Amino acid sequence: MALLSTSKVSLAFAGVRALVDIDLQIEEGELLGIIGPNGSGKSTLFNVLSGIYRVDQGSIEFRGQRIERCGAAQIVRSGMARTFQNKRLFGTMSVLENVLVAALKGAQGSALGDVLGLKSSARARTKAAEIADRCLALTGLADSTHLIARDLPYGAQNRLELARALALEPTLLLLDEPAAGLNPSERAELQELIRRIHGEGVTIALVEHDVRMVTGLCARAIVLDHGEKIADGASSMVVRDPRVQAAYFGEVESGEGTHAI
Amino acid sequence: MTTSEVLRRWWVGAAVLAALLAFPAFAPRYIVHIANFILIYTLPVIGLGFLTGFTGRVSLAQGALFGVGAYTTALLTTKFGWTPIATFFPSVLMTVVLAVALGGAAVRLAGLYFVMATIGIQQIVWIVLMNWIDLTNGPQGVRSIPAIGLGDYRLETPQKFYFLTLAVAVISYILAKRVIGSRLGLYLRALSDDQLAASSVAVEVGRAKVTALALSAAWAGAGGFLYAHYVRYVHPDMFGLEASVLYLVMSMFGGYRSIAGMVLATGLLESATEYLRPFGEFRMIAYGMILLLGMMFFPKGILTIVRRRTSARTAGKT
Amino acid sequence: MFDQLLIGGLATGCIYAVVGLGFTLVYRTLRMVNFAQGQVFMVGAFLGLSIAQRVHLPVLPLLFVVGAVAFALGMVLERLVFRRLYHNHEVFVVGSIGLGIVLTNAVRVFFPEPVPFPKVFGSHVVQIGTARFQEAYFWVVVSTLVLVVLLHAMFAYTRGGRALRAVAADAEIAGTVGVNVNRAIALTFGLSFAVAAIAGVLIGPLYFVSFDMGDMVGLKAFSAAVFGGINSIPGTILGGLVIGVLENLAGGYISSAYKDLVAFVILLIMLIWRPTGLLGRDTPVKV
Repeated sequence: MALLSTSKVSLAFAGVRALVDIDLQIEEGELLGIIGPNGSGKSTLFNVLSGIYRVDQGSIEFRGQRIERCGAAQIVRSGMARTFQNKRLFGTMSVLENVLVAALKGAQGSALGDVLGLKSSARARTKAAEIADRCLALTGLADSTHLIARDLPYGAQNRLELARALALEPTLLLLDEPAAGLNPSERAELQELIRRIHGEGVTIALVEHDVRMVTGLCARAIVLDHGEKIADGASSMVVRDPRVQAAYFGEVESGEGTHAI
Repeated sequence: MTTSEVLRRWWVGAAVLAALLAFPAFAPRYIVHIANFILIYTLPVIGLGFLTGFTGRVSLAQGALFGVGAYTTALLTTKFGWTPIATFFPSVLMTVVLAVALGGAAVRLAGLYFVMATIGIQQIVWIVLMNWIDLTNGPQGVRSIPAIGLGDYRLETPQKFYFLTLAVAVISYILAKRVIGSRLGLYLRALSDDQLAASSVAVEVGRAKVTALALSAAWAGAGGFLYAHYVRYVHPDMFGLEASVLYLVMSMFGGYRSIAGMVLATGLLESATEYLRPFGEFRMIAYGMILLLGMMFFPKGILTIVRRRTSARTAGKT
Repeated sequence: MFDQLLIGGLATGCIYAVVGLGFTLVYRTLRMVNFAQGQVFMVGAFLGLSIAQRVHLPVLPLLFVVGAVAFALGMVLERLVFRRLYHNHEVFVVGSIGLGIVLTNAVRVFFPEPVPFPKVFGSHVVQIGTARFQEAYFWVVVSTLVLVVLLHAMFAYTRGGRALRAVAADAEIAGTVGVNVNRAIALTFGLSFAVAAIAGVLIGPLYFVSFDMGDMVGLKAFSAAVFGGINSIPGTILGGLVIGVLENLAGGYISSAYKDLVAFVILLIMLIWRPTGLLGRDTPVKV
């Protein structure tokens, strides 16, 4: 059984069809790429999977449970985490605190326990701090723990967003354009980081504009265009598919500046 | 922190504590009286701080909630003969229950709508206090509220009451700092920064907001309890919109996430109001100007401006 | 009794509606609530009083003069004060409350006691059905009607009015098509002050005027606007009339003590059930 599968998922906003009859499977342990021109519905798909949008039609199953009616916090607790395309950090909080909020998911004890100084709560806080430290070390932010999130340079904010998602110890990680705005050496670092995370057993779905990164990391890829899935298969094959080329070709014409296939 | 820094903190703390304890022996009665009010008001102000600074919500109902605490204890002691100390918990509980009942559904609303709802709550409570004459005596208020006491010893003078208010204020401060240092504090700051992101990292946003509301009510109720047994007379006009605005200003002026700042602001503003009291309407005009100019030029409180500059420098950005 | 309560309620309802319009105009343009609106209403009443006590003006010129002065005041205050409060809702709310306190107490210095207002509407007693009331009530309703029609005409048919509507709908886009957005905002404030002040003059002859008359009226007009839809002009008017009538009926049939409760209970219920109000549309409000 696939880790996550959707069946005929559709969503429309004010008459615009954002997602049309999406059937997709994500197998446990894979690194799936999701590509498509701007506005094809990639981020909307993630919003639907992570419970931020409710589907108009269709069903979503994750780890054997139906989740299309679940709220975001609930879905996160069942093992799915995501990053956002426009970084959504907790701007006034420190780097460590940003990750700590996530690391406290499912922790023992309670706020009351914290206030009263109960041992169970303190132990849970320590454990969460350990998780946070690990994620920050992995993403190269171990030296910046006390800096305030909104004061970080762009690349660091990117990594913080990733660290925070990792602290949720997800089974499935949805990465929404994590390479956006990074220079080539940062991209290479990110690619390496994603490979490492994948190596630790996390299933990853990666939305990316950088097609080379997708073919480099992902064995399999799906392609969205105007809300529909137009291709699904080995990533090296998919990018050579004439329909996929046609979908992107229009973008290069209009000078969007995406990487050439 | 290094050992010498910790030691220094302890010395400063001890010195401050000693000064605070010795204070009523040296200060004139009137000043002690003001100090009592300042200490009492830190409770509703800190309570409000849970909502404003940490949850990003403005409430204009704190005056009414303060009044609920005050009236609960006033009525239990005068009408039903309870001893004052026994009414502390019921007063706080009543305030919390009322706040969550009336405002629990509203706290999920967008910021501006929540403010509007709290105005509604404030007015409803005030109108009921004013008009439910059988229960509250309406415009006559409740008189002859007994003083708090242990056995035969009664806290009937400002100097004696001072030690109670000081103790309560210190406990409230410590407790508040522990609350915001707890995971709830993290969750509240997170959801006030970005609610969507917070729920995407498994924060139960709705529950956290209601908890913040309950905490703000608990602090308000406790403050009301103290107030009623200090002035020993309550009247609805003490708990109207003006009071709510006053607490809001004190809460916002100290720097929106600084408990110490709120205490400082309470001290400053209450002293200012007292100092200006002989000037009647001009006092109120000055007060209104403080509000207006404060919001125009220091919208995030004075202390946060200082903090922000220090932090940005550390991150190497400015 | 019903007729009496109904007519009385309609008159106060008109006042809530007009003052409420001030809230709505500012909210539509800025998504902020000006809590000094009730005090502007009060200032208008005293302005009218001061003029009427010295100069014998007929009603229309009096309303016009008061409206014009308030309009100018609104524009000046926008420039000097309100403009610096746009940071966020909370700052604007507290700042405008501060302004309201200054206005209330500034007036209090000159008029510490309630003062009767000259009967500029005449003192005939009219009878409709079983209801007898001063002709002033009648004039309040008529003036409100005329005011609403004039406003509607302005918004629909004049270029200035259309510009204001454009800025209310989307200030950024309006700016790109050449509308002077800052001036439009200033004009909106001027307008909101003018209507509130006019309402103050209208209500003056019916009761005494006092420095604190703006407090409750402001809050109830606000409730009316939220009830009807704070971004909808017809909604606010409807809200004002409904609250005015309902509270009068409640006062007459249930108890006069809890009359004031009506507006605020309606406010609270409305916010929980349907924050955009009866006729309001869903505008994106920052959470």
